[in-house]
Amino acid sequence: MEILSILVVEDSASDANLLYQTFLKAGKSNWSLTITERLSEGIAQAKANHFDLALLDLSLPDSDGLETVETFIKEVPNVPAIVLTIASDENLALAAINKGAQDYLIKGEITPNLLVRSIAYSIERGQLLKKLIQSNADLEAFNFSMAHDLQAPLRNIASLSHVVLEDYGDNLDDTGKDYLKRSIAAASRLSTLINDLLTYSRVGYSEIKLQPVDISQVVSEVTKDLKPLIEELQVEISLEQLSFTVQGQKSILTQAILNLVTNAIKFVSTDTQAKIRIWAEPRNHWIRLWIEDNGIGITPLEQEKIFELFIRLHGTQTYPGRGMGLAFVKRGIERLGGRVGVESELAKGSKFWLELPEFTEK
Amino acid sequence: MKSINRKLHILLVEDSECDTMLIQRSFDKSKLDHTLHCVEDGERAIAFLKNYGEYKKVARPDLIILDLNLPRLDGREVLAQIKQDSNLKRIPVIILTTSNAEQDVMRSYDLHANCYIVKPFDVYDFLQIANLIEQFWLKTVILPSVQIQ
Repeated sequence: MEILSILVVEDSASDANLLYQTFLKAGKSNWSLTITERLSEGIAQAKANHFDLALLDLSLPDSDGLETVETFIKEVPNVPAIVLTIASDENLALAAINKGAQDYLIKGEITPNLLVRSIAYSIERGQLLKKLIQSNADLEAFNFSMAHDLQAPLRNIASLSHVVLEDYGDNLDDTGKDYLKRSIAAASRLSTLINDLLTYSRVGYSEIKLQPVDISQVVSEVTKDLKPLIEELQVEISLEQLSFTVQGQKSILTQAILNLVTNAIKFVSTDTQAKIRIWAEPRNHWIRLWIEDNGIGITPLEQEKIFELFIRLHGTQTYPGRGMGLAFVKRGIERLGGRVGVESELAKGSKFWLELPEFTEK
Repeated sequence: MKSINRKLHILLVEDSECDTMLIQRSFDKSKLDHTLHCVEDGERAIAFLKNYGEYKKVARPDLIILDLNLPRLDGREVLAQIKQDSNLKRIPVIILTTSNAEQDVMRSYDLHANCYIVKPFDVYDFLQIANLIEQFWLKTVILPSVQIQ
């Protein structure tokens, strides 16, 4: 292992000395240790000098508990931090990891081997994390410019075609007008495609904040959203037991259920009235939401690939779509820590499901 | 509806020539007595508002429509300068941009933008925007610069 610079933020001189002795026993007398007693001094040091890692006591004269980790990581996100705790505080230590600490060490139980190993892993993870954050930022920037740079000229094509139609329509025969209308429609399809791709891409890297989500509320919002379509196609929707709260993120769950219900409405043979049943059931500590339709169904072979991006089983003439709806459902629900699946037989309808952990008050 | 007895001046700060054309077309179709002044970057917008150089004799606009992503001087900076200038801060500024990023929305309102509109991707909705601005900002609200009869 190379020679490392370690920042120790620890107000107890005896604890700091004990750490120093442990480094010596580990044969790391050549590593540089910088010891500060206050968090503010530690942060100032970390901003002014290069450190490979910080060892952070949680209770300091100017900061206490989780606040110490949060402040440190917010101020110097580039330095991986290991928190030092006392044995009775394991919950606090785990919470610190949740706040972004790389590891925790319990005072009095720190052996030379453990210390060196924990530091090596923390630095490694810290570097991976840094790369991940950078590549997510790049992706976000790329997406943003893609959205802007592709959409703007596209909207111009559509708008100008529309203006020609409105202002000079009298000089065109029906074929000419038809061509323009088709180019407007094509631009609008491309615009939807770009937006869907962005939504799909974003759900892969955007930060997830898990929160309790009321399933019945999301489902009722979705059916309200789809009301015009439901009324137009005279779809029969029955909502059954849905009173469950899951751990998830509302926007992703809403979009996923919207996609599933839209598919249930869309993929039905022309002479059939769509009938959709939606219900949820507990399975151990999970809640499974079912969406059952009486549509055209899916063969077992097709079921394997139906959740992949750009997979479309039908020609756009019969069932318009872009092959992104289910790909989003899978990616989004999996990002929330859940699962998705389908049970179906050709011509006998489909039962799509998604599963998320049940929310329980701690 | 209020009746306005003089010509209204609107400043449009927009770098997309095509968007400018479309907004101009929509305003031209209305019966409102107005002049739409168009500039394509932030520096020109400030020059226009402060009557610098070639803009020495232009009228003070009653309303500003401002894009955020602009060459030379960014729209956010233009907005900040307008709202910090005791002479200009009363002129309502409408942000009209492709950005729907939350931070742009929040920051614009923090800088005292008077409203924030995301350019609709749908062509019909986009062509409606100028009408909606006219209906609300020019026919419904009382502008600080206009005497009502």
